[in-house]
Amino acid sequence: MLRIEHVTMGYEGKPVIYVDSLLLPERGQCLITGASGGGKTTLLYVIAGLMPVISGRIIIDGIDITLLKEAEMDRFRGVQLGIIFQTLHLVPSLTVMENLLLASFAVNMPPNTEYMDEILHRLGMYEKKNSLPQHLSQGQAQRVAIARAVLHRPKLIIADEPTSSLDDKNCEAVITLIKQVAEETGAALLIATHDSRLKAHFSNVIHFENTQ
Amino acid sequence: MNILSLSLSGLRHNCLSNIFNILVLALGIAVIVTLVNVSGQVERRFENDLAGIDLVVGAKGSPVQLMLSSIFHMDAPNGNISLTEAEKITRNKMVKSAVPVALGDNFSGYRIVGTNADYLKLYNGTLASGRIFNAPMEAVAGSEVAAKRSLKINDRIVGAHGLVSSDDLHKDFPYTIVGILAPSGTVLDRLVLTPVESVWRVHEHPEPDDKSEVEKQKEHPGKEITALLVSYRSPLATATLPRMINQSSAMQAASPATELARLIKMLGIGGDAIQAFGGALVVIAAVGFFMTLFNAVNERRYDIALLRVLGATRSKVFAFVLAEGLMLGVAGTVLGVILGQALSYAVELWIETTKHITLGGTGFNPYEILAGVGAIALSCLASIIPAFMAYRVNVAQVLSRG
Repeated sequence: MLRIEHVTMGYEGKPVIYVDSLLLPERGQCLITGASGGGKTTLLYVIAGLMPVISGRIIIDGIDITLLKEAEMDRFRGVQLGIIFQTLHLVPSLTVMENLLLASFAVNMPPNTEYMDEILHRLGMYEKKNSLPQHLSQGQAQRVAIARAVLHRPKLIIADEPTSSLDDKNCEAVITLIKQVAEETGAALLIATHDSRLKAHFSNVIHFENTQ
Repeated sequence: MNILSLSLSGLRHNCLSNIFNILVLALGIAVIVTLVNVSGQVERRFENDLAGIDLVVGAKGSPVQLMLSSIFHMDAPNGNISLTEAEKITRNKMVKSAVPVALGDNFSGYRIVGTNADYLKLYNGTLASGRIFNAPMEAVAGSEVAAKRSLKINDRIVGAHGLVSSDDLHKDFPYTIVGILAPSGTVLDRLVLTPVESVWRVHEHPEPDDKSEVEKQKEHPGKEITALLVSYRSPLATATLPRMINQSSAMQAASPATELARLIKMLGIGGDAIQAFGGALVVIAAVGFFMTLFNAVNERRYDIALLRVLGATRSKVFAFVLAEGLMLGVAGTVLGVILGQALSYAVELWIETTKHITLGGTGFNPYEILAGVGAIALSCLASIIPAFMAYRVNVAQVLSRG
């Protein structure tokens, strides 16, 4: 599903991080750990096409995304990738439902409201569908963000520090939920975190270190 | 969800400043719309009253005053001309028709005009009831006069000396109403028409206690009229007839079209200032839109980054901010046009009650549409820089700073 080959990443053309190879099979789940500032987030940005690579290839579902034009990458990201970033909050002026609709709007897809309701039910957020984000707890907001990420049944879910701001109980609930949703939708899952609580949930853990 | 509902939710974010900016824009548009509307109506009304009158001949003095007094019946006449002199013009080969106008009296504020049946033809006036006058002291009332003063056929009315006051009545010389005119939307509606002979008869016998009138009677023994409304037989007359009259007679000839244009141009200076004020409000509103959107884009970098992460292209977020500007512009313009129409209506009502001039009712003026389109275009222009900022958002950078 995801194959990374000899990728050099960096800022303003200066190479900072090098990943020789990383392979994630279909429905595979992988945890990338490492200290903050080690380049985990940068790797996720590059996989999401939000930052260009300096060299190398990133193949997702058979498509080398480093060759896509920007607008093509935007659409690819919106349709094929489910992204859960720590800083990707909900839009405060929109309700839970509208925040989900935003994902369909962004890629001009007719919203599948049935599936939307189903996901909200499964995440226990259906009753809150008309609430504004300010009336949600942090754990609830995170669940809405997860729902939004899987709305288009992505092939690959990438998550950056999805649990680091949550207490143990919520951390447990959220990581279980993400794994479960990934399994149910048949998506591969790649999580970057420095939260060591998550290690127990993954058999495939890569320690990421900037050795430069 | 579509781009408009999303933009709308964005606008709710800065609700108060957006409302304020919309109101400023609406006010600017309203000022322009009202001005254009009312001045357009007034000009149209004036032009209707000009009818087919190519030249107005009267006593020497201000040509504008001559036009105002003998065509629009608004100002005092500048004097009288001798009937014999006037008849010379009537007989001129270049003249198609020459309608006499003799002023002097009013009937409770409405002017009594001594003339002949041709005066009606100038304005295509038709009778609603009764008949046209055919003897002295018979009169035909304009529709507004008849309605406001509840006149009926065979009513007797008494004129008062002067053009406005009603204390110096000519009680010995009552007029008989023989006809009432249908509304024409011209000055005709506000007049009482009678043969010229009636005016002569009323004024033949000067009041013995009014010295100036006795003097006047002595100085000008011949019959007089106030003005002559001339229509040319051919446009060629424009070049020669006015000059001939102005140089070789004691009379003055003025082209009402020229004088009206001159008058409107003079009055237009005030209008220009008001219009500039309206324009300034529109520009201030556009600057307000710019500042609000600029701040909004800065504040909502995360929302924009989020849209991009969810798959929106750069052009899409650009369009999204532009749509906000467009919505502000449209809201302000629509509100402004409605406000302007209401204001125009109020001003017309005010003119009607205070100045007794009925205007043609409100309507859409092409210039209004131009002003609206301009304001909306300006709002879009104001949102281009904020939209470009949204276009340029570096998603990875915005997210890492979180």
